[in-house]
Amino acid sequence: MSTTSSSLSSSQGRRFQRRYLLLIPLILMTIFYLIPLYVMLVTGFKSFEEVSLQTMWNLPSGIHFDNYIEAFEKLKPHLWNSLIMVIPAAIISSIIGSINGFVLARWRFPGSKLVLPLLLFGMFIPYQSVIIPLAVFMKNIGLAGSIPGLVLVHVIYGIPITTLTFYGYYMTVPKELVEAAKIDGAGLLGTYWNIFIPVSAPAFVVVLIWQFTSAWNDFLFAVILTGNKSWPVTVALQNMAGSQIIAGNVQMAGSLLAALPTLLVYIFLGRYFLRGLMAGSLKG
Amino acid sequence: MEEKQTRKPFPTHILVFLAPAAIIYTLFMVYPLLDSLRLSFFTIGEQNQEIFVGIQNYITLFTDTNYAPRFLGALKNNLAFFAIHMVVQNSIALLLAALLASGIRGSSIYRSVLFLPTVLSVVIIGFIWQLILNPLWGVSESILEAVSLGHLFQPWLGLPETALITVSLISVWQFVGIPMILFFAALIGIPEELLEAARVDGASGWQTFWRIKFPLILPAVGIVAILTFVGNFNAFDLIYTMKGANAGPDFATDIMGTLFYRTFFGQQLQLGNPTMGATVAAMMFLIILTGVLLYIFLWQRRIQEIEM
Repeated sequence: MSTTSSSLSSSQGRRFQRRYLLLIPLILMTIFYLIPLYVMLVTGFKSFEEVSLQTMWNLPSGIHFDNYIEAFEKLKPHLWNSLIMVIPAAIISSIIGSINGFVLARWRFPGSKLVLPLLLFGMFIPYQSVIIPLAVFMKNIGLAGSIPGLVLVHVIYGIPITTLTFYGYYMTVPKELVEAAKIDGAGLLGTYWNIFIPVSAPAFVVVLIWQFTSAWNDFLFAVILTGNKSWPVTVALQNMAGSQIIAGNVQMAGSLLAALPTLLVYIFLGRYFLRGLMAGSLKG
Repeated sequence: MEEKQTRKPFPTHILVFLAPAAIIYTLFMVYPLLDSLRLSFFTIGEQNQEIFVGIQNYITLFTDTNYAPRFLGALKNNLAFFAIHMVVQNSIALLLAALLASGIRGSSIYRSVLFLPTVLSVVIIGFIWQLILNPLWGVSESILEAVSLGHLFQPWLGLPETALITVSLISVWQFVGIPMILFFAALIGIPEELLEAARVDGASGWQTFWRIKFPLILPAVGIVAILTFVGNFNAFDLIYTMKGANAGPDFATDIMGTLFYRTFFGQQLQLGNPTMGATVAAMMFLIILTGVLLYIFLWQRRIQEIEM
């Protein structure tokens, strides 16, 4: 229309250019992150001959489910072990974390200042420096090499992080709400149940996913504290590849099977997880 | 204060709430840690009895010809592993976070993809990269050839000179999402008025970032640094998965975690040694404790002074 509009559009153009320049590294990085996942996916569907040739990039000649069936047969008991270990571990440690976080956030008691450093200490402790006596202890209480033993360990070593997350979250619950509940005559339990639990969903999502994935992916505890019947899937997968000559396609199929639960959780709840994680880290 | 006087002198119901946690904490954190430290001052005798040897195990670890080269090698490799994460992982994470926080459309999609590998098992990531870097199947070789850099291809995971760097970079690839999210959260938490003021003063994007944003996210930088430190000196599974307990080739990828595993369980001809294992574990504990204390007393205190 006029000269001003043309100069405006050229500066807008520059801004667009800048925007695209910023996008390039992000897009390249994203591709760099999708390639390995692509390789895992297509290799799992390939036949043995296709893998051993230099055709990694190509799509499989057909959909071969045999690899998945073979990998599933091998991993089935261990996938089950992982599931029945991870679900109770995640739920129990989240509930304990919520109760602890609530008490720490809302009530001062003698020694309460000491609790947070102790929890941080528990979070940062190298598991190697407790695992030898822990293995002996598990043996003594008859839980060595068993799934319940592993559940117990994951619950316990999850408590510091779940407590800290809930503590940070509960600190943001408005004081007025708590005061109002007190005036209404609610006790400790009543306040927890009626005020805190109903607003806890975001924190529970973060903590449950965190515990689910870290227990599912754990290797050190699993490899030291379980026997080959009670191996969770990570250790079984590692041994499947290590103990025999196994084709890359079956290995990749097995990897995808072992990744599936955490992938699904992440795909469906990941948004809430990242949002909650960011909200939490802002306070930390 | 007033509240305290109207309340009961000691809230026993809170004890009931916290007692299980306290008992569990003692039983599973304090006791095993102390017992593990205790064990590092003993050796196992012929009749399976524990014999007190003072600091002999530590002397062995530092001077014995069987142990010292492995221990010092693992320590050196672990420091390199940590340095690579600090430099490569955390600066890439900062760059990505800055890009994501610049208001790009679809940033949540990039964020989700880049964070994705962190939710997968290290075993799986190890397998995938082993397959990609495999010299026989030549995936990465064919990529490099496609951009006519085929001559650069080497079996990076198999060569002593490059194995540690390669493994470190794979770990960087997997975990870059965590510092990225922490930086991103810190960056979007900066009040808009501050940035607006800088813009009005004519500061460039680059200046705004280093003069205003970066100092404001220093607490996140500290958290990332300490998390990286603790994670790296605890690391075990990636090396074990990709290179086995012997952390080959020729111990080139051996770090404290794999050294601990080998010492405790034994390898090939050498029998496992729980007390030497406990000694390695004690060293790991000391290293991590030192890092965490430095973080708390030097870094956090300085940050608080700056903020005040």
